[in-house]
Parts: sequence; structure tokens; C-alpha cells
Amino acid sequence: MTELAAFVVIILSAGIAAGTPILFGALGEIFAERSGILNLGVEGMMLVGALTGIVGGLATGSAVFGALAAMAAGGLLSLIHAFISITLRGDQVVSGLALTIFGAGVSAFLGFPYVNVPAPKFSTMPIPMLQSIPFIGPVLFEHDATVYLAFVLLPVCWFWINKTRPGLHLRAVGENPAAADALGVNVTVIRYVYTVVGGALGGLGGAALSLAYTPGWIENMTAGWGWIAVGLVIFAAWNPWRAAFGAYLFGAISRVVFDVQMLPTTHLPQLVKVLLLPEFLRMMPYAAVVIILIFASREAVRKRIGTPAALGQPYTREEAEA
Amino acid sequence: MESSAGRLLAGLRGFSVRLEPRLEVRRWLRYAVPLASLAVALMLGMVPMMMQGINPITGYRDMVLLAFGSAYGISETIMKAIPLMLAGLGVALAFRMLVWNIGAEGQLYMGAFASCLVAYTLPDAPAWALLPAMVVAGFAGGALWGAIPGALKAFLGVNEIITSLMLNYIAIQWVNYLVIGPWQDPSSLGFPSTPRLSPSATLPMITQAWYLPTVVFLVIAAVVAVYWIVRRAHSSREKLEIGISFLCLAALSLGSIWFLGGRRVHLGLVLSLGAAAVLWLLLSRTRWGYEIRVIGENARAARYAGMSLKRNIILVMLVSGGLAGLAGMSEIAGNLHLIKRMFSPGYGYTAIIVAWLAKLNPWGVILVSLLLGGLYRGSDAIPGAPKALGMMLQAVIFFVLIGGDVLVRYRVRWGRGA
Amino acid sequence: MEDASRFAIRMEGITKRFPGVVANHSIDFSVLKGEIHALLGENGAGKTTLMKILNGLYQPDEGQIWIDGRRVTLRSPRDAIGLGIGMVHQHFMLVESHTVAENIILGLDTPRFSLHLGQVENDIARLAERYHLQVDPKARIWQLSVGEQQRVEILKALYRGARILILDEPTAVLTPQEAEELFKTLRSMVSEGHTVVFISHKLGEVMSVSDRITILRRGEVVDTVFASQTSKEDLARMMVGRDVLVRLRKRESEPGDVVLEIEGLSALSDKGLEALRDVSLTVRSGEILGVAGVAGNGQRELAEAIVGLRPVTRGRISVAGTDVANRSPREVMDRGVGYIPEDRMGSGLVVNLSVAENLILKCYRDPPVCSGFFLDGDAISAHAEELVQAYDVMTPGIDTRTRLLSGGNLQKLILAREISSQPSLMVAVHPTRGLDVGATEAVRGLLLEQRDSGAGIVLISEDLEELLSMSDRIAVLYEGRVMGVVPSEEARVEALGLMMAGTAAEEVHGE
Repeated sequence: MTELAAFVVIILSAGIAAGTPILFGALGEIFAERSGILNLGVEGMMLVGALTGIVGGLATGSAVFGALAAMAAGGLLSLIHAFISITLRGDQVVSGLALTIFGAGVSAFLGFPYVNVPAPKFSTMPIPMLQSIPFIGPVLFEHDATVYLAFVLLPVCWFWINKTRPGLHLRAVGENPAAADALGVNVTVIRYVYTVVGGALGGLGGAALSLAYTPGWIENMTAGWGWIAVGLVIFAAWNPWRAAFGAYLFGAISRVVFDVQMLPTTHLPQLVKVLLLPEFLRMMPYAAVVIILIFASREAVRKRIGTPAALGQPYTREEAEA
Repeated sequence: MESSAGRLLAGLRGFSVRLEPRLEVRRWLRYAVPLASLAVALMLGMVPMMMQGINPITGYRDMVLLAFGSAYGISETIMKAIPLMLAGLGVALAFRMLVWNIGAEGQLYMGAFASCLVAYTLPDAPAWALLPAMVVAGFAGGALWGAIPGALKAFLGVNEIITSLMLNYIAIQWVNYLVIGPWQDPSSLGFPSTPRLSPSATLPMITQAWYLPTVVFLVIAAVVAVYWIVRRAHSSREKLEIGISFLCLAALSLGSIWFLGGRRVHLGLVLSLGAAAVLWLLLSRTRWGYEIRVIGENARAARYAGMSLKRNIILVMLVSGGLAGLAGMSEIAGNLHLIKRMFSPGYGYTAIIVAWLAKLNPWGVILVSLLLGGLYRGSDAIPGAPKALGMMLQAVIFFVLIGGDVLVRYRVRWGRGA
Repeated sequence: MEDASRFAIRMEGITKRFPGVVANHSIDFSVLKGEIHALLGENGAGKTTLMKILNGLYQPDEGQIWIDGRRVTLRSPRDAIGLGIGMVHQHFMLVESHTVAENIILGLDTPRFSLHLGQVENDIARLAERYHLQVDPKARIWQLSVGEQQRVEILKALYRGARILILDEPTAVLTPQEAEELFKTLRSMVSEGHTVVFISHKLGEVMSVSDRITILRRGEVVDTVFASQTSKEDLARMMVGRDVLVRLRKRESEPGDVVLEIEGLSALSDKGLEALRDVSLTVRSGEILGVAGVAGNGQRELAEAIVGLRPVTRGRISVAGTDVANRSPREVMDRGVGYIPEDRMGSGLVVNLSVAENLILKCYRDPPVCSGFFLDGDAISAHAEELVQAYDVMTPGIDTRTRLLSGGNLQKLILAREISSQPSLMVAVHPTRGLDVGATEAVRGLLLEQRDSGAGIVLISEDLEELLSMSDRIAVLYEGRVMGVVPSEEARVEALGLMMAGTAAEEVHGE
């Protein structure tokens, strides 16, 4: 029984650690999408963030500055997307895809000399007192700084979006930009700001990966986690808390997959043995995304949870007339 | 946050960039802007090259020379372009209907898997039976893999962008499993792969021996063209078009045999060109193509006209995935002759860029594929992470062209205040 | 200028160009403090553009603006609000998923950061009471009726301290009775010192409510007159530019067999609420059944249910004897039903395809356009040439992209396509909305021609005059129910208005 409890603690704690990079990406995407900008470039921004984190960390000798550099890089990258989709009114799906390809390419090209170079990282900082709470302590309070940052960021994001004036304006711009514009809310500025904030959080997600969860740079190290973050936003119905639940769940799944490989398999039937091969286990998180999206879209139909009404649509005042 | 950003932008207040839609697009802009965009993109691409300590001028020179500087280089470029053409055609078809299939990479792997499944199960079959079966299997493999996100979107409204992408990772892991599992060639220990395909399971290369059948084919085509010009064509313009098309076909086919004969370029090139022709006919001249265009432009009008969105989403994903599957099949059966882990250097993703740069036009896909195939080939001239350089440059070209496209469609007005 | 401070608004030499059109050409417009000033003109005369300039949404290319005697530059709606100008747009600018209070404080500076809405809600309630604009501040917009949403819009302007209120076609979405209520509110606002500008194309209400009237035609000012010194006929002439023949040459109808019979029909709206309840209607060949009602009372759902675009939860729709409820649009179409949808660009046409390609939208599967799997280019061109000729569609050519055509020609294109399929039943939704007088006449003429040649027509419109002049019988929808069907010769505007507000026909006639 205690063994099982210990196993659960390990899974939950590891799930939170693994889910944190995804969560940053998802929170950033929630901001961008709430303002009406669909940014499919999360994967690219996370990759660039991951590399910049390493480079920045090496240059300054501090993981904190590495993470800040990663945020700047993610924000800068999303600025391209913002320019194309807001000012140039380009297709947001296509621009986001380009961003992902660009991020993957540029990080692999520039990151070549940094592969597996040891760099500063965020080390585990158990929180005194709280860590000794049974069960909860080891699950929640024996992590590195990025995980705690996510804990702090979650309620802040939720409060910001739902309970503040800037949040009200953010939601209005994503739902009905014409209405917001008619009341003097600057749609363009808000969309730029939140797209860039979203990019910065995406970059931070990358840094959380390369400076904390799996320290070091490897080409294409996000392996689709940025895309999982985008998928989670749909699952989460644009709600930070649900996004956190989803991200930690995926963290846990990817960790369970890892642990299961260690189990003794000799006495299991052949088919199960095959399914427990690493290749199949590695499919699980991606398959889980597909399955969870199926359920999420059924729920969305039933409860009529709406996508932000203006998501993906460029806004311009004069188009109505022209 | 918002207000501080507002203050930050206070200097810009009243200063505005306005885009006015052009009623008529000027012809020269349509060609000048993409060319200028390409030049700008290549200039931007210099920045990361310099960051890596590479002289961009000599770098580009080496790339161009490697990709297009010799007959051998060109034939290798075409080898890279073939999978891009097939997968790009598939993506273009789906995008035409605003179905965002970004799972071409996975569909490509599944096509390779399915065609090899046929090849390995029927090792003794003769080439004339085996190759068509492999083509069918490759198409089917990709088609079924593409149909999954298609069906999920059509019936359950699940976002196809995410699902088709997730399936890429699953397909790659599946092929990995085969390569280091049941299909592994025991002798390929260091770098696992499947056994070599038998000669009857590989696509034949273009050789001088093709002259004879090609000439026969061209004679038949000439007869058809003359019949068409005399009997069916209504305007002199149409007659001219048919005539020119025939001459192009003849020059292209004989020219490529002369130029490529005896090099590594394989039947996949013919397959790609054929697919482009079929797709072009399909989109512009058939009922189904009309439905695809109407749905892509205005789904509500399509619904009212009685077109079934669900049926078309699934059909389009089947064909789109099938073409990507063919890309995988031709890459394995024509080029590699065995499956390795991660055998595609992201052809399925580049296909997205190919399709978009080609404005979703089938013949455009062929041209853009040759260009980006050159980028793949040429970037081998750069030390470090050449594959990544290719990807990066593709994306830069892509970004700049999206921006350039705006200049074609809109007139940009700069102004303060009024 | 005798006394500049008398004017609340003065606009001089305002010109605004859009690609391909001059929406406002050198317009002079002024409004006195404390008056109700009507801006009268046809669709496309430039009324809304002028007011959007005044509201800071558009910047004029030329011209100057004074508010309360001060020269101003209006760069954004925020500037306009700062000067006490509030605008109620024709299409409400409300965030549907937000509450009334959230909508009202959108874009303001207080409360500055944290949103405790209790105080705000109290203020709104007090304001609402003062101006008789009752609405629940906590309600979400999508739960409100159209009339209530309009009140929210007005409250939004008043909450911002607007002294100049601009209303764009405010009565288009109201019943005559609700409109009367609105006018009372406007008068009480004026008596408290506010200034009101309202945009309209309805002569009657302009005459009865406003102090002065400015008439716009094709982007230019025709004249500004006192309501007390003019007549409907004068206004109409100025608005249209010639004497208007309101009478249509309409023959006596000769109703034949039943072409459409609807029994006990119920259907849901997009939001999943019941939009049609137990609707029963009959249309015979050779007659026009008008459907009246305030916007959003089930008209759109009714049309969509008939043509197969909307699932039906209960009831029968028989077209020429066969039940087509819940059949696909294709099957309905094949039984001889034509459809002129409400949004021409949205579901009627594919604007990025050519004129010819749009004309085959309904017949692309049938010979001669289609043989087997292939489309026949020659047949498509011939078909298009013929229809463009016959219906007098002004287009540079049949290969022109449809988006380049004007509104009237777009509508003719749809009519050409639908009529050419020789429907026995035609469903027309707002067929003349947004068209100029010439195109309106053409469209009405074509519909009447269809009737005379034996088609049954369901004409859904919010324009009572159009319904009265076109239809043989008029059905009134209210909250998805049929309040009654009356022959149009016997119908009176007041009675229809009561029915549109939810009074059953029997009660109306009982009075």
C-alpha cells in the first residue's frame, strides 16, 4: 500500500514537473487566442526559447537570465506572427505553421554547437515547512523554480483575464473587436501585446524544458510538446485552470510511460509485451491528445462552449464598407 | 500592462498604416513581388549564417553550385523534389478546401510502410505486378492515415490541425518500431534498417531506353491533340493552348530523358507530373473540383447548393493523404530502397510551404518543389547542421512571401491621422 | 455664422473615399443644440459613413469638424466619447457573451483595474430608471431581446456622459409600438438638454419625431429642412432625386394549387433555443405570402427550415405534396424550391469565383453543364451569357470575379440563378435590403413576374411597406409563433404592429 502511495507521489510530482513547460506554452496561447489571434507557432517559439535559454544561461552564468532571454526570444518571434496576422491580415494558420518551421530550423541551425553542452540550470528547491506535509509536500513542493513560477502564474492569469479591466478588454477584443473598437479600446495594440506575451510565455516554456526539466539542448527537443499545448487550449476551453489540469495530466502520462518501461515484462503475454515497447509507449501522449480532443469537442458541442468568436479573423474598421 | 504599452505606443498614435484592397491586381506585381520577396528572404537568411561564422556570399554560391551547378547536381535536386511534389500536391488539395492537413509527414511514413508491406509479403512477384500494387498500397496507406483526422473533423468536429499533426509522431514511432523490430535487417546492426527491396520492387530509373516508348506515347498524344484542335476546340486561343501544351510535353519528356537518362532520377518524377496533371484537371474541369473550390471559398453557399461537407472533407483527406503516401512510397521504392528511422528530412512539413508558395496551384507545386528541393540539396554545401539551414531558409522565404502577398492584394497607405 | 455656440455639431466640406466609391462628397452638416435632427437618405447615400466620421471610427479625407463651437480632430471613438458624442450602431456593438455591466464599462478608465461591478451595476440601474430604459445589469447580452439590447446601447452612451447621441436606423429592429417608446425616450432626453441625431430612410418617423431633417443623396447633401415646413412627398423627391411611384403595377392574384404546406413546425435557433413554435402556413401557386415580424423572431429559421438548411424538431413541411422536413438542401431544391438568402455575399454567392461559376451553383451536376464527371466549359459560358443578358446583370464579363459587382447586380445574379431553375416555390429573405431604388424596383418586378407565372412565393421582410405592396396575404411572426395571417388589402400598419409585438390577430381585430 505504501509502495503504491510512493508510486503515486512519484507520478504526480513528475507529472507536475513535466507538465510545466507545456503549461507555460498553453497559458501563452490562451492569452493570444483570447485576444483573437491563433498562434500555431508555439512549438517553434518553445524550441527557440529552449535554445536561447541555454545560450543566455551560458553567457550570463545564470539560469534566471537564460529564462529571461528565452522569453525575449519567444516574444520577438511572435512579433513576426503578430505583424503578419494583425497588420498584414495574413492567414493566421499558415503564418503560425511557418513560425513553427522557422523556429525548428533556426534553433537546429544555430544550436548545432550547443548540443549537449552543459549549461546552468534550475535545480530543485524544496520549500521548507511545506515540503514536509505528507503526500502533498513531495508532490507540490519539491520542485525547481519554474514549477513554482507556474503555480504563481496560474491564479494571476485567471484573475487577470476574468476579474480585471485589462482582462475585460482582452476578452472583448477576442469576442467582438468591432464593439471594443467602437468604445475606444485599441484592438491592434491589445492583440499585439497579448500575442507577444503569449510568445514570451512560449519561450519560457522552452526554457523550462532546457534549463529545468531535461537540462541541455538537443535538436528538436520539444518533440511536439508545443503542439500539445495548442491542443490543450482547446481542451481547456480557454480556461487557465483546465489548462493546468491538462498539462499536468500529460506530464503524468509521459512519466508513466517512462516508468512502465522499467517494469519486468517476462511473465506478460506477447501482445502486451509489444505494446510496452518504448516505440509504442512514446505514441501514448500523442494518442492521448487525439482522444482527449475528441471528448473535448463533444463536450463543446453539448455545452456550447465557444471559441473566442473572433479567433483567427483579422480586424479592420473599414472593411465593412469597402 | 496594457496602459504602459499604450503609452509606449503613444508616439505612434495617429500614425497609421492602412491597407486598401486593390480592385484589380496588376499583372506585373504578381511576378515582381514574389521575385523581390525571394531576394529579400535570401538576404535575411544571411544573418543566421553570419552568426554561425559562415560567409553568406560564398555560402549561397556553394549552395547554388551544388544544387544547380551540374547535371548531376540537378538530378539530385530533382530527387529531393519528387517527394515534395507529391506531398505538396496533397497538401495543396486539402488547403484548397480549407482543410488544414498538416499530417503529410505521417501520411508519407504510412505510405512507405504500406508499400513495403506489399513488397515484403510478395517477394517473388514480377515488377509489372508488384510496382502497381505498391503504388496502390502506398496511396492507400497515406489515405487511411489521412482519413482519421478527416473523419474526426467531419463527424465530431475535432480540430484537424492538431490531430493530423499528432498522428505524425505516432506514424514515425510505428515505423521506428518496424525498423528496429520485426522488419529489421539482421545485418544492419549499427544503423538499423529494413532489408533492401528486391529489384522488382524498386522504381525503374529514367534511362536512354525510355526514348522509344516515349516517342510512341508522344505520337499518340499528337494524334489526340490534332483531333482536339480540329474537332473540339472552339476558339483560336484554345487551339493555341492545346498546341503549346503538346509541344511543352514533347520537349519536356524528350529533354528530360536526354538530360537525366542514366542518372538516379526514377519513375517517381513521372508519377509526380502525372499527379499534378490529374489534380489540375480535377480542380478546374470536374464536378468534384468545382465542389472543392466552392466549399473552400464559402462553405455556407456550398451547403445550400447541396454539397456535402462531411463527404468532401473525408474524400479530400483520403486523396491528400494518399498523395503524401505516394511520396513515401516513391522515396523508398525509388531512392532509398529500404526504410531507415526518420528517413524523411521533414518532406511532409516542407510540403506545407511548397503548397502555400505555389498558391495551391498544381503546376506551381512542381516549380516550387524544384526550388525547395534545390534548397535541400544545396544546404548540404554548408557545414554544421545543413538540414536545419534548409528548413530555416524555407521558412524565411515563406514569411517574406506572405508579407509580399499583401502588397499584391492591397495598396498600402502610410499617413498621420487622417 | 450668427452664433457658433448654438451648434452642437458643425461639419464642413467632409469628403470620404473608399476604394472605388466616394461615400461622402464635400458634405456640410450642422445640428443645433437640443434638437432631434434626422439624417435621411436611401441605402448607400452615405449617412452611416458621415456618422462614423463623427464618431471617430473613420477619418475623413477632407473637411473640418466643430463640436460645441470648438474645432476638433476625431481620431478614434475614444476622442468622440471625450467630446460627449455617443453612437448606437445599426448592428449593435455588444459582446454577446459578456454581461450588460461589462459591456457598458468596456473601454472606460474606472474602475481602473480590479472589477468589482456592484457599484457600477447600481449606477446603471439608476441611469436606466431615469431614462426609462429598464434592463438587468447582470444579464448576459445573448439572453436579451433586441429591444433590450438597444437600450443597453443607449445606456452605454449615456453612462459615458454623452450629450450628443447618434442612432443609426434605430427603428429597423423595433415594432411600431417599441419605436414609439424609443421616440418618447429620445424626446425626454432632448428635454434634459441632450442632442439627438438619428439616421433613417423612413419618411413617416422622420416627419413625426425630428425638428430638422438633412437629406443625403449619393454622398451629397440635398438640403436641410424643418420638419414643420416640409411634406413626405417633398422629402421623398429629395431623397430619391425624382418623383417616386410607390404603386407597383400589380395584377390581381390567381391562387392555384397548394405548393407549400407547413404544419406544426418547430425548430431551434443556433443557440439551441426554440426559434419556431408550432408554425402552420400555406402558400398557393400564383400568390405571395408575406412574413412580417421584428428581426430575430424566427424569420431566418423559417426560411432555412423550408430550404433544408436547418433541422426541424417537429412538424411537416410539404412541398407540392411531399414532406421535405429534415431533407437535405439538395433534395428540397430538386423539388423546385428557389431561395434568395438574407446575406448575398454570405450564403448566396461565392464572391471569389467568377460570375459564370456562380451561375452554375445549382445546376453544376446536371446536363448540359456537367457530363459525367467533367464540367463542360462551353455550356457554362453559354448558360452565363444567356442569364446575364436576360436579367440585365451589369458585369464586365462572365469571367469577372463576383466580388467586383455592385449589390444590386449581386442580387440580380442570385435571382437569375434561382429563377432559371423554374422553381414552383420561391423563398425570398429581405430581397431588397440595401439596394438602391432602381435595383429594388427590378427585384420586386422579377418576383411579381414569378408570381404571375404561377410560382408561390414566401417573402420575408422587415419593411412593412414592401410587404403591404407586394404580398397577397401577410403572416406575422412573433417569438417563433404565427400571430395571424391577414389578406394584405385588409391589413393596417397599426394592427400588424400590434401583432408583431405579440398580440394575436383575433384580439387585434376584436378591439
